[in-house]
Amino acid sequence: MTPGSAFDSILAVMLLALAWRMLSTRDLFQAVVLFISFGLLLAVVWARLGAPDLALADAAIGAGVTGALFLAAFGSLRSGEAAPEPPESTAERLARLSAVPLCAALAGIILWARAMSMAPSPVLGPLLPAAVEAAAATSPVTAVLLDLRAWDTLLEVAVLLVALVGGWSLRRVVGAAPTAVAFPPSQLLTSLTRLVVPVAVFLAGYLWWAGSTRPGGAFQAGAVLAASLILLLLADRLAPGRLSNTPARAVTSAAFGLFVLVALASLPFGRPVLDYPEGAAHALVLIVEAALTLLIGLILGSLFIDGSRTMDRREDAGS
Amino acid sequence: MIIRDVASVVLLSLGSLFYVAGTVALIRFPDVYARLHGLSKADNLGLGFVAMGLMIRSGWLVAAKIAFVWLFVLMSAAVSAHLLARAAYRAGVPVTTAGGGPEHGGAAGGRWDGGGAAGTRSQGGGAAGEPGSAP
Repeated sequence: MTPGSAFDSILAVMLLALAWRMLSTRDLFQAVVLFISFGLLLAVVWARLGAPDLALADAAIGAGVTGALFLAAFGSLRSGEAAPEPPESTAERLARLSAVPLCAALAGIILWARAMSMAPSPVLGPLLPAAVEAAAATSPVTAVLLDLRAWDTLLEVAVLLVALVGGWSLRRVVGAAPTAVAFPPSQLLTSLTRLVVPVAVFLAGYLWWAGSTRPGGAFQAGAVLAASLILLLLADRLAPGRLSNTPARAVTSAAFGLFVLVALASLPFGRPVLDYPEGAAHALVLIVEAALTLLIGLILGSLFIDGSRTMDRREDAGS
Repeated sequence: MIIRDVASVVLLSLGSLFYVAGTVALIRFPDVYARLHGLSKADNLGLGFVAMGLMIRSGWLVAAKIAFVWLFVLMSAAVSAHLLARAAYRAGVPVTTAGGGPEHGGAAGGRWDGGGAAGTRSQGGGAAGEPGSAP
């Protein structure tokens, strides 16, 4: 066994152990922290599998922003324990015991279909050289995301917008609390924010630019932008209302509208939707990615503050 | 370049040793403040050694990037540890004093995590909801 495969097997075992521990613990805070470490370990796994884009996205979004969302939600709960569950009924017991045989049967069917060499769905591999030739993007991941499968990305972002509106509707009190934090932030945090946020914004810009030719792209840049927004909110340098007031909504709509515009712009020329003209493909992909970066950053930052209890402070005055 | 490889291996092993020391601190120290103290110091130093071990076997550009990574981790880890300790203090997690025995006025004589008379805040501060035992 080579050192590489020994390391991989240790990683796999640790992943499973972390996942089991995370699901079986009664302490919710412990579960959240285990989730964050699970996300980081998953990012290492992606790096081992040779997928740096996925590793970046998983570390930033899966471990970072989702971890922050969980912690914000956890802060909104009254107690740190999961509610005691009622004893399971017969139906639930049946469902639980039949889960393993059903999953095994599904796995068996998939393996049998694979063994029978049934034709796989059309793969993107042969199409990639043509997309790279059209200079849409040299990085294969970006070429797939924003050129070959741009329709999927468009619908994905539409779903994110729906989540954003859902987050806004979570706030029970019309009119936002003035700050995102319950007590004044530490001076150390404020200084760190002053130092780190400009660097983070610069890094987001670099990730956006580098996404055309190497691992990077809109989602990773948007996640870094969201992280700096969250940092600003926690250091009380940004009023939470500014993430959902009229200028913010205007920027969100404009960014999504730009994507839709680029998508539909090819229709008057008799070409199908999202068919970039050659020569302009690279520029169009960059423009769309810039809009996506802004959008994702705003959405993830807003989701963080929408789940936070301090937003409903006025309602809690009596309790 | 044999000396470079040897030096790299030595630095990486030293870094791992510091990480083990930090983990021992996480497991063995009595309360959250001591754990944070031990963990942040040992882990940052361990990362420094690992970074140095990697830097000496890379080109100038990659070495500069690794140095920046270490710098940012240093800053963020220090501030994170400070924030955690601050939140725990506000939530009223008792600080373990040196003795912890009856002379400190507590009925918790002999308990390894008994809070002494000094440093205990009974008022729960910010309802951030974080329990004292950080994993």
